[in-house]
Amino acid sequence: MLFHLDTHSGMPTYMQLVNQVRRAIRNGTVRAGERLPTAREVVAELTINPNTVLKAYTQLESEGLVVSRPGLGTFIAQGIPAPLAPALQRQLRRGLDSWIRNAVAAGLDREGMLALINLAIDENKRAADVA
Amino acid sequence: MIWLTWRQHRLEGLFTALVVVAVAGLVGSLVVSAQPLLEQIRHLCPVVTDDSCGRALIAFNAKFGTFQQPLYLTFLVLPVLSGMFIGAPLLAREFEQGTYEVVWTQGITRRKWLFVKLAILGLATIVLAGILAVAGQEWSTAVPDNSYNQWFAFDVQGPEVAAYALFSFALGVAAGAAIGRTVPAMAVVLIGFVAARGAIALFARRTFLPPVTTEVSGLGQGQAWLMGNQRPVDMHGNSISAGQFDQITNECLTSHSGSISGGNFDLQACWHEHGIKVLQSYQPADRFLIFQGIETAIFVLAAIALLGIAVWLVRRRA
Amino acid sequence: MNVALNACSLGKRYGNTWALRDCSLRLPAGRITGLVGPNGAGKTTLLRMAVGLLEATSGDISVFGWSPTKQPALVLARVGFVPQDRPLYRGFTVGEILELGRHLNPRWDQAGAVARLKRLDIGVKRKVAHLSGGQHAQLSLTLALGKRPDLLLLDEPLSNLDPLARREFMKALVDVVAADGLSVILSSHVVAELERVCDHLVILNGGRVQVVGDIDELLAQHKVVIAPRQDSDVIDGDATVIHVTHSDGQSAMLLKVGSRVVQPDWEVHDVSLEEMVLAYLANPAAAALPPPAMEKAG
Repeated sequence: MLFHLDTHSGMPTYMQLVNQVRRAIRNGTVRAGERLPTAREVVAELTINPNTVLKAYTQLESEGLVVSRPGLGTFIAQGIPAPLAPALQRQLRRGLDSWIRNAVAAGLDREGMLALINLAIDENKRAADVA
Repeated sequence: MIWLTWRQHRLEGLFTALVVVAVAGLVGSLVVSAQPLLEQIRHLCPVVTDDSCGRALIAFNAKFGTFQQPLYLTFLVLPVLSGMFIGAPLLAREFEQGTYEVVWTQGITRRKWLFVKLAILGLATIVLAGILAVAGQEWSTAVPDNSYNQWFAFDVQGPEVAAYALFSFALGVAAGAAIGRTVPAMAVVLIGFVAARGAIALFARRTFLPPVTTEVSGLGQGQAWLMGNQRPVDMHGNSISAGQFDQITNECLTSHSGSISGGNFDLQACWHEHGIKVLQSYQPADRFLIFQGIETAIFVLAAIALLGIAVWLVRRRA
Repeated sequence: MNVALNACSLGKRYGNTWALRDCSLRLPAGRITGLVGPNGAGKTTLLRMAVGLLEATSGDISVFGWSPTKQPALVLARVGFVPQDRPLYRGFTVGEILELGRHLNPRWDQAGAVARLKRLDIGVKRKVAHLSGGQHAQLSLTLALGKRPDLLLLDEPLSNLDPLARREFMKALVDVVAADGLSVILSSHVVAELERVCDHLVILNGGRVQVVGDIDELLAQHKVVIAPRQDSDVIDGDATVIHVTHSDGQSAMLLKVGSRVVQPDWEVHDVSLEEMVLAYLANPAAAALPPPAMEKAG
């Protein structure tokens, strides 16, 4: 698992690491049981504070995404949602691509599209919770 | 810490040691090569009345005379070097280059750091100066008897030589601590050392003990240190003029002209007949060691005071 | 919280000028603390007092509970120091610099130091004067780390280093922190240098402490807010204005926000460390300090 640091995003470093692990799990880049780099290894790669790595790993552990075993390392937790099957992923992407084309034609920019999507997710979630 | 002292000061230490050993070696070889001539002089001079003694002395001077002045000056100058090249840079260089911030933040207190350095380098200075003093003594006592007065060789022999060197070293360390820059500290050592030595040697030394005043019997006072000229006075102690004295002395000499050389002519008795006597103030020969001791003590105490100042300045440095 | 450095009303006066005044802070162990401020703010003074090179005029300072001036042996055994400009004996070889460390420190890891230099490809026979700027800096760091300190103090360690040398130096530093759990306090007047590796921050300005705290917390507490023009200094709620710029109809304010959320029609942006530091430096009267209750240090 390779990490990358974006120094110009407003996001704290530890959050960036957390998101990168989450994304890697989602994409299937890392599998359940795989060992994440040690703090020392990440620090050697990125030249950041070791506490930042520990903070990220602690956060991931609290989300149930990783498990830390003292003396052995930090490992991707078992039983995390499996990555999306490629066929399903392709199907969803097709729908998304045509929607994006329509939105762009309607004059929405990225911010506008994201705002609409967030709104839709929230409303759908509320409807699902109520039901 | 011993390793560090050696590593930092090995160049100047070796250089100084080399110079001292070279000078001592030169003196040693001169003394050895002068022995034959000195033997000759010792045999000839007390007994023979012709000029073979004189010729031997001239031969000695021709061969060794040129060394006297330069060697004497070298002995006077060498103690300055310990202050300028070992003492002055000791603290000044550390402050100038900022390296004191490194050595004082290792695992050793600055007091211990300084004490070890001062102890090792101070001891080395004393030892090297001691070698020089021994060489000085050998050389000055090798000179033919009737031209040697130990008081003229006061500065080149005895414990005071080590005291001069220690004083010079201490002056350098204190100057370096106070000024914090090497070259100005070296200048202070040079000026301070010359001033101190000059003041003591030329003005203070004669006052260490009050001089003795006795009557001159017409002959020399041997190994004494004469202070001032002979003073002719009358029987009540009042000075008489030079003109008067010369007149009386000439009368005495001419009236006994036949028996001057080699005789038991008593010039003093003749002076008494004319109602005058000649006084001379001097430091007796047997006071030589005491004077050496006093001069040594002065410079050693001054050195201790200066080192104390340096230690205090280092403690204060904030 | 294990306290690495504790200062209580610490002050240092030279003649009529106070280089450091009424400085109180507690820095936790196990962190990399950045000490920022303009030149002459008192950073060097604070570090030198922590290591016993300077005596306080008022107040006191302690390192792991010990006084650097009254218990120097205890402090020096636990604290490594890399002074400003990284002085070393230029005539010594690299190996002799390590010898110096070995002879002057009761505890010394010669094997570790040699291994570190080997990894950095710095030959032990080379003279210090012949090292590049980056190598010289690494050697200073190696010397300070040789005694296996618990706290490392560095005074502007990246000054006069090219960007690559700076990165290499920081890399070496964070590696040893990751391996040994060392506490670090490093000063700089360039915030960007520290942003990557520090997790704790002290802002010194004009000899006084303006800000002390955990960086993530500080960044969460400070926001830049674009709002309709506000000319008063006082904001509703418990937000404090640190710095403000006005244009015709708007004000851009850097705020330290309290628990109350700012008004809904205001634009809220996260703030970078550099922006936050600059805002405080521009406004010496502002402060973000932990609540009082300082016990006497040392």
